[in-house]
Amino acid sequence: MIFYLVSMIHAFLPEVFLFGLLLSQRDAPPKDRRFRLDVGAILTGFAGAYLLQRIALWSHATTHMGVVLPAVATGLCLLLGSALALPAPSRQTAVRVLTRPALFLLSIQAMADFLARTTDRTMTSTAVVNTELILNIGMMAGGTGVLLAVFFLCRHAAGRIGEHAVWLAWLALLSAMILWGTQVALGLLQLGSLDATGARLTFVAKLTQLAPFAPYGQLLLIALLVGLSYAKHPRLSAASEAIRTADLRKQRSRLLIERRWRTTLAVLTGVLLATMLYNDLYASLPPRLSPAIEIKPDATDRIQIKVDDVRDGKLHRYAYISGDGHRVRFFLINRYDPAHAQIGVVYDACKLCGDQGYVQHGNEIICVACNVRIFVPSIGKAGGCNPIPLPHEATNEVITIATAELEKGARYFTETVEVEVAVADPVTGAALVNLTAAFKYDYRGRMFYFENQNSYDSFKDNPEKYATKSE
Amino acid sequence: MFFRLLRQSFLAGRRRKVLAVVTVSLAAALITTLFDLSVDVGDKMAREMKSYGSNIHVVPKSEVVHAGVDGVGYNPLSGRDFLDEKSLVDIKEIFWRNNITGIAPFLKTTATIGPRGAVPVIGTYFNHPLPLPDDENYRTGVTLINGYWNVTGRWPRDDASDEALAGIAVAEERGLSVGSRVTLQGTAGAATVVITGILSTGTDEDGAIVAPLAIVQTITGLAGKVQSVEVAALTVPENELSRKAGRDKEALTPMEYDLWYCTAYVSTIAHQIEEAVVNVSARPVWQVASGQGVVIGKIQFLMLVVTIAAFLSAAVGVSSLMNTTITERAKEIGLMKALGAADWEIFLLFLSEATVIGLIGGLVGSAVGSGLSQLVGLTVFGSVVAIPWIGLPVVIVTAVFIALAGSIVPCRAIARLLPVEVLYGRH
Amino acid sequence: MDAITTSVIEVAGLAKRFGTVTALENINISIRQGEFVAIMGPSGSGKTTLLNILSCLDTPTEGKYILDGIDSSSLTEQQRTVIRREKIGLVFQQFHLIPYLTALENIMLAQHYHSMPLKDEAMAALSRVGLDQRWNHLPSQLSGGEQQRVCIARALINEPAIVLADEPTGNLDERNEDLVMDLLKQLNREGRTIVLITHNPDLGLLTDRIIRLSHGHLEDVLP
Repeated sequence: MIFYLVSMIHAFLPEVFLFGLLLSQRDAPPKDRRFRLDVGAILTGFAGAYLLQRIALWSHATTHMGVVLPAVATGLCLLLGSALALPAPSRQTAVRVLTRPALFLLSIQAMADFLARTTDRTMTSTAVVNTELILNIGMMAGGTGVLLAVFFLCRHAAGRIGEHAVWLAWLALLSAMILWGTQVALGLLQLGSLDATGARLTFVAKLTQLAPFAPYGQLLLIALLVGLSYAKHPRLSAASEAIRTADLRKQRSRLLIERRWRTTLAVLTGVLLATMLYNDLYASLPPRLSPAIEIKPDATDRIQIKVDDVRDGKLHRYAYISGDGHRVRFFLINRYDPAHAQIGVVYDACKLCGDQGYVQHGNEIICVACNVRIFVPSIGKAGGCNPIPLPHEATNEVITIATAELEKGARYFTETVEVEVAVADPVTGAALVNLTAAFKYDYRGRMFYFENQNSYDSFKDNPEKYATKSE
Repeated sequence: MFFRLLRQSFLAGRRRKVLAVVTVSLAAALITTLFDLSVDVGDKMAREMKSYGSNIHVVPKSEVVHAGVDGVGYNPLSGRDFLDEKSLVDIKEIFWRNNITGIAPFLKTTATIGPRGAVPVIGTYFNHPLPLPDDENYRTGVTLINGYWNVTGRWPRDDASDEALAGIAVAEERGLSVGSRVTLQGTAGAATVVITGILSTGTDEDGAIVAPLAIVQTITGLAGKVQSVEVAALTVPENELSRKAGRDKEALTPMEYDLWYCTAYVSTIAHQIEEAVVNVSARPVWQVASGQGVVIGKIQFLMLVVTIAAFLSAAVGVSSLMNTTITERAKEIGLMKALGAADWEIFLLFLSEATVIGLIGGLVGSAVGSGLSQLVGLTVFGSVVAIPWIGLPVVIVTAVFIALAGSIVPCRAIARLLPVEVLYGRH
Repeated sequence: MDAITTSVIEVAGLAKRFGTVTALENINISIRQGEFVAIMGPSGSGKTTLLNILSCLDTPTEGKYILDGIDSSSLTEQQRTVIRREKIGLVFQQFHLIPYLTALENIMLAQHYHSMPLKDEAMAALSRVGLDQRWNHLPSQLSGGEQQRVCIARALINEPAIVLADEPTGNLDERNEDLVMDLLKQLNREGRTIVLITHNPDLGLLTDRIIRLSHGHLEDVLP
């Protein structure tokens, strides 16, 4: 349910902040009719975005829409930025002329962004009214309220900081342009309209990684606004005899009201920040694996685990560092009740979804990658999203796993740790560090490391000879 | 100062406020009742749709048209298509075989017991061996897939030719108890069975004799045939990814595609069963959705209408009370205006009073309504309704809206009121 | 400063008509800062209509009304509300205290609508009228004279440009009448501009100047 709120923040916060700053720069306070026209522009923008999104979905042109709208918004930002650079009287005129088109176009962009984020979500899994549906609607209503309040508070605060509002507006425009410009570039690359050179891809990829943090940037700017309006806060004029007590009281009350506006904005900024942090640091994270016990083979190159240690029905995770530095995770779990131990011995990886591993929630074993619940009695069998079986020997007391098997399992895992000496160049026999070796070569599922081009080439020419030698 | 004013003014007109609270809380109680019932079922449905396990109903393709009345009409078996009992193994052969936690075949017929006519008879596996290529000792049956089947007594053995369960309704009707012997006379043969237990499921099985599949196959002469199969599977509820894939598979990134492909959605498993067994149709079945859900879904609109009616009538009630209040307090309003209060400040006072009325009315109404919904739940659905906590905020918000809606029209009189006319009793 | 710049109230050519009925016609009044003026006239002479216009509760049909330098005849309702809370103190014949608020709270309410409530200041205003001991009493627990003194304290709390007192002693006995009139006199001596509206000639004599109204016209202005 917090998903919708977070999506709203992502999509609408740039607009809300920009509108607040922009409207504070418009010459006259909004009178009834003008205000109504502003609201009309925004609502028309929302409706337009909905319509556009329907059309795009229908004609499979979502990527195109994801280029055009941010491009228009970026262009508009440039225009607004230059309008704000004009000297005072013409600036107000320019802002007044641009405001309503800006409200309309940025509303389209914001709403389209929000709709794109939420297309594949449903508010409810059934048509009958249910808690989830109400919570989602409630969250969105709450989000609307908070964002509206932030808009009015920002406009008010921006009106109190004079010329500084222009600087802030430029910063807001810049951050929005980076955000939308990246979307445009990414879309163009996807559509093939822009040749995908390595440098471009890297640049766009870097910027795209920043996108999830955009709201934090916006919130920082709002915090800056709060700080500025505090710094510019008028102080109570010294209570001289000349000032009547009623006037003094009036001044005090004005300052009090200003302080309340500011505090409210600060609190709401805090609320938005807390929501974002809660989502990014907690709610949207995948489940974490329980720690694995590092285990080393005994003198006979075997790993032995007592059945009694693992018969409790819990997932017991172990990790073995293979010769080439891969961290091979495997786990043992009793498939039946503690009285009848039937231990499943499997790698902590799935043939299909990779090595993200499995977690235990209550009695359920869940694949982290695809969220599939694994039927516990079937653990140890291959197929589906079941963990890859690990060949082993089992008696009633002890499970024995040969390290040779675990070495084979290294290919399922990507996590590597630095191991020294353990790997040697199969040609020259020189000791190497896996992560810094000059060359490596995957031969029959095993990784070989080489100190130089020569030994690498000789191995490639005759792998059979060296591979067997190094066994 | 505002809150002091609000508190004092609220307490000053207590009598009328109590009346308004009662009006609002009556409507709130009605709305709570309807809401609790609806949300209880809605939540159950949502939980079912989002649960990580589901049952898949497998029938011969030609039977799909009958699926809607399945369980209600025990149609004669003649001229119908059947599945081979042997093909059950195929279901455990699909890619997602490990996610299938149990299988139970069904063969339904009717048999006469003594002179009082026919009763439905269902043949199934209770805990039957089903050797699989990779698991010779695999056993499955209704004991594994239908957790809500409740047996007083003992489950029959699948290999026994003379044991059966009696549904609680049929046991009562025919005076059967544990240990009773009955002879089931079918179309192609007869079998005498001992009732080993009384079955209660809350559904159709209550009115039937449930016997091992082999017995029913014997009395119907349908050796090796089954009519339908119930498959229990561990699945992933449809999610963002599955919807995205459903919308446009091209839009998936390679990583998303892999993930989607390797996820055990119920639709995927059903599809694989259809591929593995020839000529069958596999559909997920939802218990609540097809039971209470249908009822609530149909009367949801009615509930909405009643809610709106309650809303409006309560608002009108509040409105007339508010009108009197404002007329009575005209002097006070005039004075506030004369002291320099803006219209909105006076609105705020009266609307805040309305909000407090709504809050109290909503709280009281929620309490009363929760009790009422229990009563309705017991009489209509025969079960206690779990009070959804979400009902409290929703009803309180609704109640506040009632009070505010009722106050808006009377409050317009505030703007029209001229202090001159009320402050000076003469002209 | 000369007399013209310190005039608090300037009424010029003011008229008020209700449909075809003329309540006031060609009213010209000038009241200086610190004056204590009585507006007198029999019932139906247009006193109350004039009072309403002076207190910005009503607008004139024609003519000008300049209060403390602001032409209030051209203001919107909202602007007149601001004028009322900042420039005008009203004293009523029927006191008009909010029945469910204490004496102190009644004064704080006027502060609230003006700017913000300040308890100490309100308390000082109460002690100014000699009621600091009774701050926590509801109007119903106060005598008529006490209520009127609360009303005066309330009228003064925002330091208005003028105090308009409409028959302030109309509902009071003789002893309280003297008390209230003494209070008003004293406030006048402290520099307050007070306009007293009354039909009682005895009260009129206590003021600096009497403006007589008759059938909606000014009769004469005594020096």
